Amino acid sequence: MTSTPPNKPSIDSHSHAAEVNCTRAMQQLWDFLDRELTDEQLGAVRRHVESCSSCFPHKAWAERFLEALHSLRDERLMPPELKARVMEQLRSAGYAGTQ
Amino acid sequence: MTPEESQSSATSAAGSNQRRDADFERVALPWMNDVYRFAYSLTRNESDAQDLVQETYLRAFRSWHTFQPGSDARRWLFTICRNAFLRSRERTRHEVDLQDGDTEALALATRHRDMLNDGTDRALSQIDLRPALTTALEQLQEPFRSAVILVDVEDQSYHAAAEILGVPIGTVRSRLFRGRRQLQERLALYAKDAGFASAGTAKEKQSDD
Repeated sequence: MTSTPPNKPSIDSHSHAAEVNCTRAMQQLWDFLDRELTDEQLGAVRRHVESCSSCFPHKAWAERFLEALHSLRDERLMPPELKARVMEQLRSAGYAGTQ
Repeated sequence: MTPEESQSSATSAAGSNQRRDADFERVALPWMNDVYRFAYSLTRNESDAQDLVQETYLRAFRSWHTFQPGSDARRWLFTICRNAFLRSRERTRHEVDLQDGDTEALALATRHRDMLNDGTDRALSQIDLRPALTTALEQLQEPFRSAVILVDVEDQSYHAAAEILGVPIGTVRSRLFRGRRQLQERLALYAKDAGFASAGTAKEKQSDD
């Protein structure tokens, strides 16, 4: 772990996550929402974005954006005949299950 | 081998096939819809997506002995699907110059600040994002689309997406953030159109009064 010079905020996400500034919070916003940070880093970003009036709207928007994107999951379902085609092909390859 | 031994070996082979089929049915088949969605995101064409799903399941069935029981079957199927797709297209992976993830993330924040300042954010808050996102996602180019589909639509972790796509995690992260930025650009255009339309209506109404 490298030591951080005094008066200079740490920008190394892999070192100790104390408090973060706006720049660091925005660099890590998506990792935060994707749950790709350590608990300590998650806590630091959460504390910042929930108390910073400049960063909070970015978080709110990012959450809404991701939620809408995720909901597209329900919009494309496979055509009903596809399963029958797959099963037929599997049977000719030796599959003998109940489906 | 005596006839008895031969019969017993045939019975045990039949038993092991039966177990294989039952496991395959229980573990691999339930993900067909997810595989189809992923296949569609790669091919962007229903008929090609269906062919790719068939190919994926056939390969999965034939190499079922390589599947680690208890591991993530969906991730395994996505990997097979991606490989089958690449092979079918004989694609050479085109490298794209990418900023690192942190820079992309900051660009996203900057872009959203502009949207707050020019009223796009307010316009977006009043509309259903899904139709615009569906179109935007269809238009999003590779390699960004696969990253967005895997992480944002299919809930895969950065690590899993990296494994499926065969690239380092940092590459997934920057592709993902760039893809999200491009989607947001399209949403902003969509909101602008919607905003202009409603501003026009309000103006006309005012002049009517």
